[in-house]
Amino acid sequence: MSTSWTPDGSSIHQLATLLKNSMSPNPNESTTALDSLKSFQLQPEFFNYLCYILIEGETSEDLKAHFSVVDLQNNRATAGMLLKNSMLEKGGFVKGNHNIDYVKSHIIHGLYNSNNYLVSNVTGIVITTLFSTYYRQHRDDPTSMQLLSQLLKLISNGNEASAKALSKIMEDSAQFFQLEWAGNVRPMEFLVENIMKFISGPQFSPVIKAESIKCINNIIPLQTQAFIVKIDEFLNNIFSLAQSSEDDQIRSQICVSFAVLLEFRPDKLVDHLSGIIQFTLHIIGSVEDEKVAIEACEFLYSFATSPNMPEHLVQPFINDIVPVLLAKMVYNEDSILTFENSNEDDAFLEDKDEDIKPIAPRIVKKRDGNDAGDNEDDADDHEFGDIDTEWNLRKCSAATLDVITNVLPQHVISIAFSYLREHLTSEKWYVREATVLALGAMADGGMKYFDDQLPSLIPFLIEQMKDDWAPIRKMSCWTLSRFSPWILKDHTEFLLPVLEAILITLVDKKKDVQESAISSVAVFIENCDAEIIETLLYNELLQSFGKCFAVYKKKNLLILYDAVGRFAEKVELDDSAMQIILPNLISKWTALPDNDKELWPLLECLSCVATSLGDKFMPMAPEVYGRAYKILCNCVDLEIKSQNDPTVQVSEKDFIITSLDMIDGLVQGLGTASQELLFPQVTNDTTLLQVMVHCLQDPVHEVRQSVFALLGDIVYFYNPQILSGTLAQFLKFIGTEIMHNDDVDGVPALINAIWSLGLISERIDLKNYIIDLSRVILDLFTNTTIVLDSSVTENIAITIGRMALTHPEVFTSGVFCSDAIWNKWCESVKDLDILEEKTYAYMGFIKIVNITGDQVSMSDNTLSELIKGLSKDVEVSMFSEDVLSLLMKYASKIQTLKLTPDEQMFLQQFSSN
Amino acid sequence: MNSEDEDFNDIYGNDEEQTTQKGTVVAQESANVEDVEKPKEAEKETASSSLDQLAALQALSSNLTNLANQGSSTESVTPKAVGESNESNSNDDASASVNNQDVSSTNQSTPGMPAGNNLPWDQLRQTMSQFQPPMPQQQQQQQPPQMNNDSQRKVKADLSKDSCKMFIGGLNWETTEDTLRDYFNKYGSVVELKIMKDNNTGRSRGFGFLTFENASSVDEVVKTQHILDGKVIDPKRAIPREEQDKTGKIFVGGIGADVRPKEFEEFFAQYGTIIDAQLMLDKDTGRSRGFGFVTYDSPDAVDRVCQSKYIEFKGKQIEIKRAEPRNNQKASGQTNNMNNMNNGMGNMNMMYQNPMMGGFNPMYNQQAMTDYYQQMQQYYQQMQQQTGVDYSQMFQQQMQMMMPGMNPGAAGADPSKPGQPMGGSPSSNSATPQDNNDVQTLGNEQNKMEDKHGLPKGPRRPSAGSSDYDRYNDNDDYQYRGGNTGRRLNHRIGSNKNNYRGSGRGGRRSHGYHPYNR
Repeated sequence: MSTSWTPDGSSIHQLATLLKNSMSPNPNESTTALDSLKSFQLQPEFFNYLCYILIEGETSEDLKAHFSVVDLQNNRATAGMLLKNSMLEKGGFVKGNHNIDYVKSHIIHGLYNSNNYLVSNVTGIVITTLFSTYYRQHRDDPTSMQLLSQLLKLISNGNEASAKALSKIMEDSAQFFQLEWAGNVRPMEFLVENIMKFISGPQFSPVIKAESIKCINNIIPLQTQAFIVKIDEFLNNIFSLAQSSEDDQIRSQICVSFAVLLEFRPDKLVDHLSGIIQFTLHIIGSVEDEKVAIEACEFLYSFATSPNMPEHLVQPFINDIVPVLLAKMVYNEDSILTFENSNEDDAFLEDKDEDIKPIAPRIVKKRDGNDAGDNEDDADDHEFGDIDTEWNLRKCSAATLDVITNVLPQHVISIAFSYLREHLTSEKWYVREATVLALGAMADGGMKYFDDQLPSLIPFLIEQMKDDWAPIRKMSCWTLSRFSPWILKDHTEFLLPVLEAILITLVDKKKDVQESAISSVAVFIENCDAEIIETLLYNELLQSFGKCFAVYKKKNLLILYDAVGRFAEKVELDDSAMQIILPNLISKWTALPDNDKELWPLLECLSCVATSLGDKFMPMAPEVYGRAYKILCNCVDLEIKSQNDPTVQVSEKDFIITSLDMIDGLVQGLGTASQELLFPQVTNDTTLLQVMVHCLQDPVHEVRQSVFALLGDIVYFYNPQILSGTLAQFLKFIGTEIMHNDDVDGVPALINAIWSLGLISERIDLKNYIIDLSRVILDLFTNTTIVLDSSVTENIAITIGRMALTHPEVFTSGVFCSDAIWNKWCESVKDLDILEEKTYAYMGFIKIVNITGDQVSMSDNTLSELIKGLSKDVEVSMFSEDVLSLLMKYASKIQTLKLTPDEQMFLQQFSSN
Repeated sequence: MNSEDEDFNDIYGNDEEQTTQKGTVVAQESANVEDVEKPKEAEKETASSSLDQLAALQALSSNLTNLANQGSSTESVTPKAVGESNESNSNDDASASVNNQDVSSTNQSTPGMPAGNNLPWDQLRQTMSQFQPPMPQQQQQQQPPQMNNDSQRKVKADLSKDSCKMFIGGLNWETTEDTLRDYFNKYGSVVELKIMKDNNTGRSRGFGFLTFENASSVDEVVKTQHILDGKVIDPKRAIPREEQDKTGKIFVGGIGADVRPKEFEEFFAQYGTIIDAQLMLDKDTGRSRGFGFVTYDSPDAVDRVCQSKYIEFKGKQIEIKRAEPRNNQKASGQTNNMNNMNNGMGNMNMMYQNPMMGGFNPMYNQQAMTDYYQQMQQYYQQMQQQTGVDYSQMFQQQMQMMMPGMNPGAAGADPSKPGQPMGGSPSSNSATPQDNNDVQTLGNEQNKMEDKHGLPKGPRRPSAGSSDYDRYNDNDDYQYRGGNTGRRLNHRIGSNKNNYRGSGRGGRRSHGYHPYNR
């Protein structure tokens, strides 16, 4: 170990200057400095130098002579952050073959002087990164253990910065400490031992205790032996802290502990539930720092949703929990003040661009798993008056009330109602508002228990939409939409009065209220039978949409697109829709640049509208297709370029997805007529198919999902010849998709892949591919180790039938050849209600059964399932001979079956033949 | 111009420039005439918004009170007692403030009367007494001084109490807590301050709260217009929670299009101290849209102004309505009684009005319910026409269910016969939830959903998961909404073309509003 490493004076000086410049407000200067720093990154001693500045930045005589005090302080932090970033960079260690001896031996010094909060904090981050990058892979390096014991030593001397550093390390690397490290040590044991001391030792500060509990909270999920033996001790410690400590940090961490234990060791909590619930309720009711109260409330949320907590264990606490939740659903004082100072009409105000949160690329977010923050939660952060953007106690309480009502609806409602009764007509608007929110929150779980109250509650809620206070109007819209299932299911007498009130509210003078109203309309449309919309609501909705287009500003327009899209999906649009909706959409569409994210909802909406309008959309189709295609190609182009040149900025995947869906909407709407648009005969241009093939390599499920959907529709409507050049590639990717089915998020893509395979095999002879693909499909269908989504199974069954239309023989031997699998097949498709595909599915299947012959003897159960399926929604005349020969074969068996009148009728049509 | 500015202009009038000029001239004149001591200050104040003037008036009135206190020296001088001492000087004082407003309205002058703290009390009072209050006679009779005292003490919003807190709107995004503090420190010691920030971006949301050590600082602040970091900011007095309920709001309709916000405010100031007056303006023309709102600091002022339904204002009969929450409404003659009995009565009212008590109280919104049922009957007729199905029986059933004991045929009955169509008074409508249940239940509870027949419902399509649209766990929300995963869910209802397709859509982003989505 070269602890003897000493930095070169001039290099230090140079580096310090660059660090200082990199923070310069002058962009040129900082860019130049950053570039130079980048080039330094390859220097083997780079990390050591950075660490030197982090540690010695304010003590080095040389540096002191050349820089101001402020610069020196800033440089230390900058050096630390750069050090961390460089270590995290892909291959950061390998690239420069870095020497980090100095880092390893000296970094701990950054914690000694914990008065400098910034430096000790950055140091903690660097140490954490050192463990999560270097040490994790070099566990035999003895300096790791030295560093750990130095940390523990510092903590036991009361150094709070070290405790924070340790909890960060545990957050990142806890699981690795279960392994053997240098000297055959398993660090977990002494870590747990020491951490427990920090929690219980009276000499340690609240910060150290809180950070130590946080460490344990990261250890609990590991279920490591080292901790399991101490779990009771830990519980005792936090129970006594819960009683004695007033420290917010500690309390907050204790709440987290309870939540984690609830998930991993509920058995340890059941005996203490009463105390724990009282503790969390006390915190929620009394603590000033809302963050702590939120943690406590999060525990209640986990408690209510935990699969480990049987209802009877939750039930005794409902009495205590519900009133607290209800109380905390009232806006806090600041919010009330804000609303009261912004209750004026604002519908005429333009939304400022910065008020509209960037539509976060959902896909990236989803894949990150631990997305850093809920930056999409309510995409509504506009002018003051809207204070609903962050996660807070009110929301957490509402969410908890929601889930707890789902668990024990009757209990919750009976308790809640006695409170709500008192406050429903409160003179204080914010109390009424909270009451309305509470009703909405309980709607989902308690709907049927509201039966008695709803007939009078709904007119009451309608009344509330005329309230002077915008928040009440807003909440009433939402709450009514929450009751939409109840209204639409057997209480349609309320539908028109409710919708009428909401439609009026659509053009409320307050934008917030508009937002809630249009969202509510979207929910109603979504939940409403198409027939009801067609016969009763069509014109009214159209007219309302027209009004909305006239007054809505940017932000609410986005939701309006969504509602219009849903509307178009529900019903077939007619000429009046063309006149009212289309001009608005097209003018928006023309006004937006290709890279505007507002295009996403607009494209989604247009896609639905195009599908719904069908031929009527033809005049617009060329321009719309041209642009969607252009956007798609442009994105794919950028992605290809970026593979060679990392500086190329790629667009969000949403551009690809929405433009693919737009094209698909055209194909569906225009059918065969769109072939000339996508694949003009003159040019014989099939670039779109190449682009689609490229997109099938995309790791993002939603992209592939959209491609498969488009592929299926192209196959369905167009001349199959078009695919001749790319069929092999498409089939390959379909096979890959079906084989890699392990991601739940990818289910829709999987379904579409299977579906498109069915359509392809129905229209194109798969020849050489049929063997492989049938095997892939059957592997999934017969797999008993994984639980498939029922719509996956259903789609596989149909696709098997379609494949068997041309190649039944591949299913007559091997795994498909058994009564059990046949039974599964019949089970999967018997309830299909779409004539065409059900017909083809059975047509193929009967072929298989007939060809299989005596290898399989069909059981009574399978036979009866088969007849049941065949007797409904199947055009049997298309393959009556096949059916007849099957029936003949099993004639004697059929006579013993118990058949419904429908099924007997079905059979009679064959006997009369 | 950003939204706050527009907002500002919309509320306070785009005519600011004009009125400022005019106001300045007038103010100077009046300053000369009345020999007020600080013409400069007066001039400065003319530039401020009407709200500021209002605040100035309030400050004036409170100064007067202080002077009065000194003069009479029998009253306590704590700021908390302002409201009370106000009343103890009863007509003098009340009329003083009304007077002051009256000056503005009759003379079109002295917007923002300078604070009179340098004037000896008597001199000021003399000046004031030149302007007799145009109080309606009735009112004087109705409210003898002692009674007035009594009620006002109870119900008047005491703006001085605990009003150290302010709401500061219209901030420049760049304004930091430090610059804000620096700015307001000149009005007094700022003890607490925060600018509300977006949690995710850390960006200022353009508004904040601050608390002064002394309420007098607030009075100072609201007197003038404030510009900070190049932006007109909008500090408002935060009315303490419990005081809010003691204020009263009215709706004013039928206002002439030529009425300006200032006139509007000045006119209504004669009835009491205004907290906020808003004349709604057409954003394009800047002209009055014919209606507005006025918030007074006490329900008494509202009672005064609401004594007649119509008032003449600038040659037009304007309509006055209470705009406060329904439950706050009191029969004006009963004000005092109501206040004395506040607790008992209030609660009873609430119980009657509570829809959860099993059915509506007809007294509560008889008309609304009647309208509602009439409307519903129309809908059924409409449905009948459109679908050819006879719904009349179903309608009766529904009525029966919703209004136990009610004759559905009477739903459309003459609303002028209250009681009858609704199935009676509160006593006859004592249906508890259980009672309701008896009538309503056709099957047992579980079956209820399925058991009802004959409702206008079409064939149902599978709509798996559609109710998940709004669910709290947004995992589902973003992926595929409404159960579109299945290829078999067609979207082309009513179309004969290809009825099946893949679910192309990866589900929309749910842009919609949800009050507690994470």
